[in-house]
Formats: sequence, structure tokens, C-alpha cells
Amino acid sequence: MGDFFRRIRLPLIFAALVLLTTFFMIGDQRAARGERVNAPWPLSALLEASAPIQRAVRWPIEHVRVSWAEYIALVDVGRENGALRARLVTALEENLQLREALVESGNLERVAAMRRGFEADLMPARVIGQDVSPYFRSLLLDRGRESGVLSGMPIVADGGLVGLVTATTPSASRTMLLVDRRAAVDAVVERSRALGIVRGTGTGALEFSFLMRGADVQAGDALLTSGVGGVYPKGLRIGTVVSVNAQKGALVHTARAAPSVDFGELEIVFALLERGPSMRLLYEGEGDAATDAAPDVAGAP
Amino acid sequence: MLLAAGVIALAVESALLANFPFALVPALSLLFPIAAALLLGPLAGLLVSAVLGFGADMLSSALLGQHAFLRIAEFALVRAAIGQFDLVRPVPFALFAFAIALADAAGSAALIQFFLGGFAADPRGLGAIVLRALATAAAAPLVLALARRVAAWGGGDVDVRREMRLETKRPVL
Repeated sequence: MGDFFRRIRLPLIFAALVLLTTFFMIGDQRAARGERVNAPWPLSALLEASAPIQRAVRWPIEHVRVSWAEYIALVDVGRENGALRARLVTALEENLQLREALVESGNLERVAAMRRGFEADLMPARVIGQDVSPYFRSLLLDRGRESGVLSGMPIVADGGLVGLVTATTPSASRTMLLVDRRAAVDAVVERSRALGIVRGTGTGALEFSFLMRGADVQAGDALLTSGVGGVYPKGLRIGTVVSVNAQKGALVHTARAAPSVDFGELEIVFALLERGPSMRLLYEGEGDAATDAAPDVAGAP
Repeated sequence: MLLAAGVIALAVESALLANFPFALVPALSLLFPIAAALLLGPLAGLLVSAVLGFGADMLSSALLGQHAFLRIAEFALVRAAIGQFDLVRPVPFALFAFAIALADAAGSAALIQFFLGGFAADPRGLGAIVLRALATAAAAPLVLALARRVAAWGGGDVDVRREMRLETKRPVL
């Protein structure tokens, strides 16, 4: 009997692991539709353990890059550029907020309210790692819960919206990029105010889905966050429409868009240290689980 | 020890991907589990492969369990191949790593299509995947040598020999 169990031990463990991973995938797939599951703590410990290693790997690379930029190419310009980029992010987003408000009504009171709404602190964070899968797009940042970065917080860069924090540890966090195939953002066309949803395709491009009835969407239109889903603040730049695919008779049309942020060149990003209303509700009462499955950021039903 | 080295390799790969083009960074997160399956005993190899797969899931926004599932499947492939190929030698191991890297990408695509749907093959992405498989193959012998040293340092039995080439009906596990 004992010999029998010893012989089938390995196939049994193999089958158990296959089942376990399948259940995890099913659970995570359901999480993508709004039902969240938390990953077990040993896995979050792996994320936490990897952060110092990634910093160590990044350090010499960055050192060479910074040396080149600051001492060989243009003395001091790199440092000044970093500071100016941080100021530019705030200025650009404030500007967009104000333009948004003015386009809508011209009501100064509402403009002031929107400004107040955007007055969330920005936490700069370094990109220390990228997704190891060729089909998914996420970043690992060197800031986590100790710096106030929590799951559900938006991440921006000087170009516009970057993504959403989906997992945190005390000193690191993972951000799902806007171009990830599981990402979705409620958006508005800046010029015509047409509403829709921007989804990542996993390839670096974006897809903008909108109801055709009365919608005016053209190539070159700027896409901004609409604030409808309660995940992202209103007025963050998402990208630019590249082409519109008009299918005759279809209720929902799509447009191809290019993101406003060059995700391949990101070094420093900024976390908006305030969750949107939907994210506050989603994470309420749970603290901030070390690892959270990616929520449906568009708040789809 | 090999597990710890695998976790470090995962973090290194993720950090390299943040600084270098995807196509040029070898899939260390794939090579270490293969090396573990090759160098360790079946049970230890299976467990190390699975844990490193879950580790890769944590450094990705992929479905939780996706990489672990693939690593377990790849473990079975390695165990099956040990009896047929001389994987301890650099060239066969590099060729095997190239094939496994392509199979891994195809397996990922299949899982995405099955669980999330809407997978569309991107020709530019396909080129990058093939280039990355080549980079992975080029790094494979070095990783195997490193893994062998790490396993030996940790006191593991790393005396991997080619097993009975013609014993084709031997169970894989």
C-alpha cells in the first residue's frame, strides 16, 4: 500500500498543481469581471522580495545612463529636466481640468470645484521592472504602501495617464498599464464630447469603443478620461484617435488610438495619492491587500 | 538554492525588460525552471518549477496561475525529453530552450484566448517572440551551468546523465 502511494505521489502532486493553477486562473478571470480575489501571501512576499533585486539591477544601468546624460551630454540638464517634468505633470493636468470645465459650462464655481477635486498629492516613483509576459503590460514601481501608494490609485506621467495600481507591498507596487489587454477606461473625445470606453489591446495600441448615434469621432481627436467610472479623475490625457472603423449598421463603433505616453521610455511616473469613488468602495474595509487581482477599471456591469 | 536563484533571475529579467528591448532579454523566468526540472529530482523539480511560475505571475498582470500552469507543463516536457535527448550538453539544451520558448509563447496565447478571449496575433510581436526565443537559446547553456553550480553549492545531486535513449515507453513522471 505504502509502495503504491509512493509510486503515484508524483502524478498526484502534478495533477493537484495543474488543478490548483487552473482554479487560480478561473478565479482571476472572474476577478477581471469585477469579483475580486486576493492572492495568497507567499506570492506577495515574492513581489516584495524582488523589489530590492530589481533596484540593484537597475542601479548600474541607471548610473551609466545618468552619467552619460548629466556629465557627458549636457551637464545638469538631466537633473533640471526631472524637476521640470514633475512640475509639468501637475501643470498639464490642471490645465486639462480647467479646459474641461470651461468647455462644459464656463461656470467658474464648477471650475474651482474641479481644481479642488484634482488637488491630490503626487508621489513620484521609479520604474524598476516590467511585465515578464509578452502578452501583458504592467510595470513594477519602487513605491508601495509605506509611501501611500495603494491599489486602485491612478498612475500618470508627463504625457498623460499611465495606468492603475493593481497590487502593492510595503515598498513596491505593480501597475497595470493602459495598454494591457485587461485595462479599460471611460473616455471622452475632447472636441465633440462623445463618450466611450478605451481598452488596451496588449500590443501597444488602444481601442476606443463608442455608441455611433450622434457621436462625432475623427482621426486626430484627443481622448481624455471622462471620470464616469469613478476610477480616474476627469480630464487626464489618454491618447489620440488614429483611425475610425465605421461598420455599417453596428450600434457600437470602434476607433484605433495611440496612447499619449510612450510606455517604452517610462522611467519616472507619479501616483495620484487618492482613489476614485469606485476604487474607494471596492477596497473599503479590506485594508489594502498585498496583492489584488486586477479590477475591471471601466466598472463594466 | 535553485529556487532562490530562480527568484533572483525573475527579478533580474523584469528589471532588464524595463531597460532593454523585449526581444533582447532572455527569458530567465523560463530557463531556471527548465534547469530545475533537469538538475533536481522529479518532485523537487516539479515544485521549484511551479513556485517559479507563480513568481512570474506576480511580476506580471497575467492571469494568476498562468505561468505556473505553463511551467508545470514544461516540467513534464523536460522530463519526457531527458530520456531522448542529451540536454546536458550546450547545443542540444540551447535548441531545446528555443523550442520551449516558442511553445511557452504559444501556450500563453492559447490560455489568453481560452480564459480572456479576443487574442489577436500581432506580426510585430511574433517577430519579437522569435528573437527572444533566440536570445533565450543563446543564454541557455550559461544559465544551465550557473544553475548546476548553484544546485551543487546547495548540496543537491546534479549528476544528470542521459537516460536510456530507446526506452520510449518509460512513464514521464
